[in-house]
Amino acid sequence: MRDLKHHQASDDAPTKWMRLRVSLVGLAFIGLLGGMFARAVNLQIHQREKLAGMAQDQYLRELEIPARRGDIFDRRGTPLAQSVDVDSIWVDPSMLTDPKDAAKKLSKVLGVDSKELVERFMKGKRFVWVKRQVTQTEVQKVQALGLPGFGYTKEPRRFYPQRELAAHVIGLVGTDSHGLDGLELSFEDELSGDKARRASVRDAKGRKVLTNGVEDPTSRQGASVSLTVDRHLQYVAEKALLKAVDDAKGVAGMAVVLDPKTGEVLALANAPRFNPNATQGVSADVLRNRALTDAFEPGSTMKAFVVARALDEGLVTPATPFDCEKGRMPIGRHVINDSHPSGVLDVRGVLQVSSNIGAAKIGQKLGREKLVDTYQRFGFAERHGLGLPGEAKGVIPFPKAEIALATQSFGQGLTASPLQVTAAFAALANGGVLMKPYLVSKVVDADGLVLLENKPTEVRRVVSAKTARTVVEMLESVVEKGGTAPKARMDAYRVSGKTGTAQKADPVARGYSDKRFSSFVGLVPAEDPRVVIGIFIDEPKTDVYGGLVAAPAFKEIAEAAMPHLAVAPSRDVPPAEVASTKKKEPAPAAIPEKNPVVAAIERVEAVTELPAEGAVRVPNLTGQSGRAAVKEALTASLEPRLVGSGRVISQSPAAGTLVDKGARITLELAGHLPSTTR
Amino acid sequence: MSVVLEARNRGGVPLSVILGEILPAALAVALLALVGIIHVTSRVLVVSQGYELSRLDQQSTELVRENDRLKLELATLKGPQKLEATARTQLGLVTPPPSQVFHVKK
Repeated sequence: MRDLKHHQASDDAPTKWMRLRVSLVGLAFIGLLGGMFARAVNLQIHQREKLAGMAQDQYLRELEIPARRGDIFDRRGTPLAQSVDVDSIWVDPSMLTDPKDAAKKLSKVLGVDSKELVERFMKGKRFVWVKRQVTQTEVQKVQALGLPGFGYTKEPRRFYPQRELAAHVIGLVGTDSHGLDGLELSFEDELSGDKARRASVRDAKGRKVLTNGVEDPTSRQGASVSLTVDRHLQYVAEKALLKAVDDAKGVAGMAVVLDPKTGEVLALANAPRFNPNATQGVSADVLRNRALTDAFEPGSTMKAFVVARALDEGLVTPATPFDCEKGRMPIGRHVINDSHPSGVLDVRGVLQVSSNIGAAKIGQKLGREKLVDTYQRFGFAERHGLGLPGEAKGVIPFPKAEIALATQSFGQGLTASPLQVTAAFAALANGGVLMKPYLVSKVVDADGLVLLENKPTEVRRVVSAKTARTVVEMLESVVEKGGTAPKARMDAYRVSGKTGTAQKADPVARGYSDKRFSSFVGLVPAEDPRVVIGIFIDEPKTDVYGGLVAAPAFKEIAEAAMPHLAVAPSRDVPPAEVASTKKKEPAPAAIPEKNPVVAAIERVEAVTELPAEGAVRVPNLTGQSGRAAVKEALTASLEPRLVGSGRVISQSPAAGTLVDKGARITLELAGHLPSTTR
Repeated sequence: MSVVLEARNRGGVPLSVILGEILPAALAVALLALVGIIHVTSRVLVVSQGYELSRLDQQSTELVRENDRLKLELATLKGPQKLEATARTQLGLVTPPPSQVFHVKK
């Protein structure tokens, strides 16, 4: 028993030691665990954000995915503006051994300014754009240089595949794909889409690992915009307009084609044009959408509305006679001249020969309030809200003075945009109902959701359907023999229209200048108009009359539009007749037809201040034989100088110019005209 | 293991007791190992799919770009100016006079 106790006592000593050691080790472990826990708390809680950020920097990259700008289409789905990803070149300047040498080399292959590049390289940034939105060839050239530190990023670039076509309507974007003008600016919010930022995991080799799936690409795509514009008609309109402006040596030109029944803008053309793919160096003057932004004194085209209202009010009938005072009617110290001195004309005749005096007398019958009201009801002095920036409102001042009432009756002393004039004619073509013109038919987002849809909208009834029909019928006489625009006549279709040759105001001299604004607005086919075409030429120089400079462009567009819109001809034209008609056509377009009306518009068509003493207005001698022209020039106290033989095809100074008595007038003559044109 | 069991058995501890003590622990370890293996495998699969997805995404982007480029080229080639020039010069086509345009009435 004692042995056992002794044995137990001897056994207890190492056990106690063991326990102590275990306790010590335990404590050490607890201490270590405590330290680890404290460290963990420090790392996980106190330094969490900093460390998490450092870790993410190593494996996460935030990618900015640019939005894909929506496309713009014409009414048949033809793309007018598209975005395509192209390369942009950037560099980390810190990796360049010799930045100046690199800038020189880059300048040669990319055509950028080397000094500017060096300045950018020296700013101490790690990311510098070298050139954005470059071609594949340029990328290859830069790669061939073998310089270090270069990177290539895809960026969307806007392209306009139809080049100049409808460029003023579509507008343009800047380098960052933000709209700067036209629809690109107006519909910036819809077209631009949403830029996306996405964190992407990168592995040790820098490869992208999409562990969280792929975003739907449509979510960052802009909406697409569909227009009412018809590419074919737009092309034809631009071509005809350019030719007309070129032939007339005009400063600018505008063409508007509308569907009168719906108000849809089928074409909206401007001259000069520009290519939106390359706008560097293009002046703001060329970029301006004049058909919408510029308000002119429209001239005689406005007579149609005055006559329409007077008929509607029962103040006149088509047969009501007006004494046109043999082309000269003094009002106070002013004199209203008629280009064609006429005696008594009925209302149809007033429109046919475009008598200012006749229109002034109709305006007087109508009265000041009703005249202003007429124009306002036809949509003047208000914006149509086409959706493009800078739309002009125009001004219709209240005609307090008697002369103002007279001049406003034939479209002087007020301003309107080409779109307003064309839309007002569309109201006549649409049975007296003014439709709201519109350009954008639909805006649809990438998911197919319709954001905006324009439908034909009636603005108001302007005149009765009967009155509108009567006026359209009367306006048919304008393009017939004896009217002011026989050049607008079509063989197969009935045409109705009105010319305008307005004097342009001279803000410096505070009167009217010798510059003209010539126009022709026509409806075709007259029996049931499908299109209304307005042609406006600013400051024509070869000829100044709307019937001579604008009407041919109208005809060219109308001839293309009718088959394109599948409009049946108004009358049958046998092939033989067409052939013979063609043969009879005079070859040189510059020589005007010498019908009574054209002869009549050889004088200034508008109210004019009386020429100062010692000054004389140059008569229009084009189309006359050399002998007759010399005789008329001498009668006008001018000294003629003839170049060539035959008939006068051009003259300098232009007809209507005020010159000193005895001034020299140069007449260019060419071969004899066909007898039919006399 | 069997030696240990036998040794314990020699001490008189029944095998069922030993199994009763060890088995839950062994099962727990095995379960943990299984969960670990499944987790690692799934992570490997996720990363591998991430690479595949990334490759397909890149491929899709390239194809979309190519498609956009071709659409642009098509639209450019179908431009009326170009079509008219081709029709007139290469094909010798002309605009028909009104007499050659026939309208089919319904």
